[in-house]
Amino acid sequence: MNFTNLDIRKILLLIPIFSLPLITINMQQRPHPSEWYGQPLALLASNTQIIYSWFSDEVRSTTSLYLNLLNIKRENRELKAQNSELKAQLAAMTELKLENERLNQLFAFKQKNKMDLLAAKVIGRDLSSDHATIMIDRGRNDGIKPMQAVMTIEGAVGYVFRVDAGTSRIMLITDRYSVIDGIVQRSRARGLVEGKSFDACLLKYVNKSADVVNGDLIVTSGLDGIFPKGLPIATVELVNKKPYTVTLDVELKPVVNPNKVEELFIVRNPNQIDLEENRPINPTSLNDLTPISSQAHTSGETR
Amino acid sequence: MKKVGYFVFHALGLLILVALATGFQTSLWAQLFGTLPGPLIWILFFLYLALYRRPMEAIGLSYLCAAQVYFFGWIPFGFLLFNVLILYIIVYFVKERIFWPGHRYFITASFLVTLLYQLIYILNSWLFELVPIRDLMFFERLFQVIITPLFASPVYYTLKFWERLTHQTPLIESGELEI
Repeated sequence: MNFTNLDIRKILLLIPIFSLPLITINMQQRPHPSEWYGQPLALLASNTQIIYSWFSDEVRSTTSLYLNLLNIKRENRELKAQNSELKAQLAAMTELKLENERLNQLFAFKQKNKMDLLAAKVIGRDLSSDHATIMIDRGRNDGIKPMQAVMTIEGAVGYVFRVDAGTSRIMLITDRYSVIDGIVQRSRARGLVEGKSFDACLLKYVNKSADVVNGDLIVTSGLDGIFPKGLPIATVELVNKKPYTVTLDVELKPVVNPNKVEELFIVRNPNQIDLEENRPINPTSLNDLTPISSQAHTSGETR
Repeated sequence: MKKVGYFVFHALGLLILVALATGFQTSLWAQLFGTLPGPLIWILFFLYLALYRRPMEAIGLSYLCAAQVYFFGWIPFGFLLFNVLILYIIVYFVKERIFWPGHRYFITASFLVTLLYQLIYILNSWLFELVPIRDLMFFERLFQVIITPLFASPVYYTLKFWERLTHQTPLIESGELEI
């Protein structure tokens, strides 16, 4: 029975096959906790990533210890085995010290700000290179909710969009579906920061007459209710003024390379924070406060 | 009844294998090789099903695997199913015309299917997505097309082994297709 010779039975079989993707093909994805029917699959996905993350940590630490040992042996052939072990331990300790320093910095940052921050570790990336998302080891059980901001000491990284029991998926600011409300720190010109590729963003809907130059820092406006105000997002790489448009095309380079982040914070109280409280006021900045179309997109929402 | 039990067991095992393969790409590969694009091993599962299972079984199991793969990334579920369905239809028609038994065919097909998937994805993105692809990332895609077939052999033999273990009878490898 050839599948290409259609009869009524085959047509009846083909209808659900073709209709299922078409019924479910909904690009208007919104951040949400996983539905009950997806929980087993989500759990399997989360646990697989956790196990692999643990495994790769172990592999990396063992490999680095082994490589350190080899280096020490090459340099100190005449030294005794005890010395080699001590040096290997010292190398391991240096790694621990660096990690400790990094964590101390994170801790000091958390102490210094009034932000309610939750530290998390990256355990996985997106399966498709067309999307920039990461998975972290914190989830619903840790009080994570969709649409919470994710950042490092340097600046914004992204926001939570899917929450499972022990893990969450973060949409990075470089994903093409990510939108954040941003302002140019120097001139206060407003626009929407959208993802472009895995290491670049765009600033869109900026008035053509706005004062934006290369090197300007773009910070969060705080108006989206996700990010605290004044958090660095990206620096201006290129300003393109096209002749027959009313807005500027601005290319940005994120201040944090979201693809290299290992530890990060989730912000749980963005609305009460203004990181620019002590910023000196620029009198010329009042000209560019209104974007061309702030209604064009819903800020910070996944389209 | 026993046959149904074996089939359910087979499907559950397949889900775990898909999760392990996708987790390898999204977690282990990413942690070991950083931003270097990982192999799309999960596509090989769809290819295997399309080549060696009866159409209804293949599509059913492919949708099930797609549901698992969905939780490893952001691709909208319907969009993923749509891509898988198109991929299946193309593989089906190619298989009817060109087919030979053995793992070498699977490796060759894996190269073509990875390439095809990238093209289908770009095309569908431009046609259907609200925010289509802005950066083609040519070299990343090319790298994935080259690297994915390296994992074809292990996937082929693992799935063959799993089929034998769960008493599943694949299609006779002759290109003969039945529902």
